[in-house]
Amino acid sequence: MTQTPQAGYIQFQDVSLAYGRGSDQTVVFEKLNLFVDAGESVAIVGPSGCGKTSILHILSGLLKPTDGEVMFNDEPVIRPRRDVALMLQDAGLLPWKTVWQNAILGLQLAGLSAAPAKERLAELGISEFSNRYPSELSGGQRQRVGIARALATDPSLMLMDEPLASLDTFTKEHIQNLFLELWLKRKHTQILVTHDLEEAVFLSQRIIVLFGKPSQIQAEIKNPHIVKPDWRNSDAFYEKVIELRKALA
Amino acid sequence: MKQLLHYLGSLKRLFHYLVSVGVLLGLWWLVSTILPIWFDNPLAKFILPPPDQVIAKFIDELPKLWDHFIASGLRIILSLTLSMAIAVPAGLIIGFESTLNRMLSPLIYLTYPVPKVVFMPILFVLFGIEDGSRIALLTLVLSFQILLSARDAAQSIGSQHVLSAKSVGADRFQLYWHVVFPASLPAILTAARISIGLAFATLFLAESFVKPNFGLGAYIVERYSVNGYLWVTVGILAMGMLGFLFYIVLDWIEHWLCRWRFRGDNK
Repeated sequence: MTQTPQAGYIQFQDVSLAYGRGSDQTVVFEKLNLFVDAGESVAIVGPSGCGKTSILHILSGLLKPTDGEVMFNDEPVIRPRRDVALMLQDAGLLPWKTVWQNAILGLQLAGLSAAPAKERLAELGISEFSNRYPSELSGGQRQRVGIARALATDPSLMLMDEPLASLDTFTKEHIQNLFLELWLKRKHTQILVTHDLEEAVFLSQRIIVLFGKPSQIQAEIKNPHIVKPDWRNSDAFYEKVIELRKALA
Repeated sequence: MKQLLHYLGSLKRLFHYLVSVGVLLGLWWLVSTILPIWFDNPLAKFILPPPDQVIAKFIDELPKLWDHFIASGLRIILSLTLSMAIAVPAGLIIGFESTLNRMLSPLIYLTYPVPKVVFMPILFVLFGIEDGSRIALLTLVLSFQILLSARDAAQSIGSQHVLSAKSVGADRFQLYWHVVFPASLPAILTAARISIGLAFATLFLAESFVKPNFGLGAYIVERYSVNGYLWVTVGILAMGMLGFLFYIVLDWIEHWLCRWRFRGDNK
């Protein structure tokens, strides 16, 4: 990447989230406190419905918490920001837009030049598919377009909501390697929500385990070893996966 | 233009059309031969002339028929354009804004089943007995179909698409332009294509109430009143051809505007 992003920290201070009212109210989490350092890569794991995705939606400014304050780069998060990118499952591409139109969407909406999107597509090796529609691409190629779209605005925070859940194992590992390389190169702050424990260990310096109703942080696992893609084959990697599995048991 | 040539140039498609026309002509000839045998009515041998006679008369009448063809075609084009301009934005907004949908849906359900032709006398008063009232009636009929389809399509847009656009900072207007409209367009164009049949039925009525100088409905009714069945069938054939032309054009517009639906996994 050509530019070093302005990294930022994240702070959740007594953040609560509830849906519904009165007796129908469901409290997802209550007084959640969380700090993510600038340039840190964190994974959030936990059972379905524990509020993992809601945390990402709050951070991307798409969802307002019921209570508490969320800060990013010394500013409260109240609306979507250009320096925050959210990657969704199946890359979140719009099927009626071509690869190029999808990649430039964020820039186009902000009235910015499309040049960075062209660079990102070239860097990710998908320039030749610019005129194709998502339905004409393989799962891995779609994911690359999603990454190009996310990186086009040069974000300092990457939020990833089970981005590889629909991919086969081979493609998944390939894109995981790409995610790690990009993070090691750019050192943006990264939060990954996943059900895949190996993915969490492979990509994150710290793994947060959410559990309970309302959800609470049950465990935090430090994982300082992530330095290069081939660490997936090391003993340290498998030991960390086992440690995480025990924390979830 | 390249797309149009590609589409029209598809030999396979052309072959299918030719087979359909052949089957239609064969059935027509069969029925026109059987009718006078089955029905003991002196008029039976006249009411459906065989295709060769009709086609010969059609060619003979073509200079006269052309003005009627254009007049009816323009009425449909104008009404379809007006109903699209009114019903598409209204349907999309009602469908996408849940509060508005809850408030307005009962009103739509109450008025939808009323046959719009009953408003003809009111439209005559409001828009006069010339083309204004005919186009108003056609617009009214088409608008309801398109509004309902646009509303339903906007209502069923996948939340992941909305989230995807919102996450890159789309405001409300941008959300409509980049997500709601393109996602609903295939359903809207399908509704327009289906409504063409209804539009022609209404056009026939609108052109026979108070007959205009030109229009295929007027041409048919005028000949029908003097038992000119050969001319009536020529008029019906012309109406069928006009309807077919609209189907082809709308089909092509869908292939052009929604080309993503005909590629890759979507095929």
